[in-house]
Amino acid sequence: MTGPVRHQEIEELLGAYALDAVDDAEQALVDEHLLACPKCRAELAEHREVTATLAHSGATAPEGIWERIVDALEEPPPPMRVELRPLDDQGDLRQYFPAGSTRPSHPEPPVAEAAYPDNVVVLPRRRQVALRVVATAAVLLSFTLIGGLVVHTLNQRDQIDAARQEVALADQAFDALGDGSSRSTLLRSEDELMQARAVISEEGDGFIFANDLPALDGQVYQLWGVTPGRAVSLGVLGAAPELKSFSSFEGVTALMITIEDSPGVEESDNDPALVGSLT
Amino acid sequence: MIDDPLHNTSDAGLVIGISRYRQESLAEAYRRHAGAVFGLARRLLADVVLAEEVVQEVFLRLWNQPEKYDPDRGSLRSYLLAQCHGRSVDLLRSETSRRKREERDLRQAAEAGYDLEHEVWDLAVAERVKGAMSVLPDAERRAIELAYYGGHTYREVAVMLDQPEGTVKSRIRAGLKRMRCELADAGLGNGGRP
Repeated sequence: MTGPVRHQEIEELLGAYALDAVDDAEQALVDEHLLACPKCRAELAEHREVTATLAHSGATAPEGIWERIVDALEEPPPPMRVELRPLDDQGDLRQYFPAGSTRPSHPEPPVAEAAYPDNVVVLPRRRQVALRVVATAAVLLSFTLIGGLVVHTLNQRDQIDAARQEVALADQAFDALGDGSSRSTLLRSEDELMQARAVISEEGDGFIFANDLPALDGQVYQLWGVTPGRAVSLGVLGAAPELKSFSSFEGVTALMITIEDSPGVEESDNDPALVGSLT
Repeated sequence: MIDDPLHNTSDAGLVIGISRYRQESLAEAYRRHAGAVFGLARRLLADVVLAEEVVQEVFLRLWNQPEKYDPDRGSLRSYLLAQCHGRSVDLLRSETSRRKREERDLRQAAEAGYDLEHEVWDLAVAERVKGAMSVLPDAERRAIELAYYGGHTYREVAVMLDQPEGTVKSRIRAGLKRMRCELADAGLGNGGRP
């Protein structure tokens, strides 16, 4: 049941799907197909526009809803500029490696992330979506090649949405890498056993491919932007980081990653585990 | 509000602002679309309290997951309304609301079906949508109305109309395509925003 037959079957469902008039199994089939079929995505977008016109049964939203929404809003992240400690010189980042700094010795499965203190900058999980590069590629391959894949989850739509977000984030990251106006660096540990590629677009949108870093137990990786004379926290990457996005700021000439006790720190006395100059 | 710099910001621009935690961008998106979202939820659920909850949920979801809106896949309005419709249908199909739904269906049947005229707020749009609906063959129009406003699956619609499931499925799709052409001819091609 692949190829044209499957495509035609899905196409026939698109109208009902746009009206939420399919059952759960059919919805999962369509969701899966849409990931790989731009033609059906385009048709669905057209159906959605039509259904939006059907919804013109408008009214003024009752007073009070907006206030409830505001009350429930996520707090914005704390200020991103967290001063670390003065740095004397930006010329040679290797000066930051102390003698004997090494990669973590006992990679373990990631620990559950604890609640972060208010003064720690955490990359917001929903906006800065973590990417499981390898896992996502595997998922997409599965979607493409195995039509009958059963996703063992109670909420397939959310899972597929998450996969789409991950792919979108990867697209953005690779676009930034391919953009000549971006700056990038390969952060390395002193022994070069740990590496992570990072790129910052001209607009200051940063991405770090941290999926090769070994998982930590009870500790987290924390990303810092280095400017002449100071280091500023750009966010906690977690215990088992993957592709993450971050916001950079003007004047950052280098990036570094420290290893901190979970859940991260506002200021650090630790020496960097990885460093890289932006070019 | 005329002096509000966000007043002329595109919906896509508002979503970018929301992704940067700008509450005023969410407020502007709410100002533009909350009425339509609420109207749809209320119509589907026939319950103001539930409809308010859906509105709250839809806009909180936009705040928490702005990346889920893809401008390439349609307008923000159609996205929000699709979210609203999906969530409302979920509620409709839940056990707890089954009885309410049955009561509502009975009441609407007594009121001569699903009539757009009674609830539209934008007469210009309503007229055009009504015109587009009117060109649909009855079977297509009825299938779309039952599915969209009634929250029924196409299989349920097939039973209600005593027609084969495949026929209903095809008629819904064909009807939406036909409506799109009509709406485009009427200059209404972007989620109900002329």
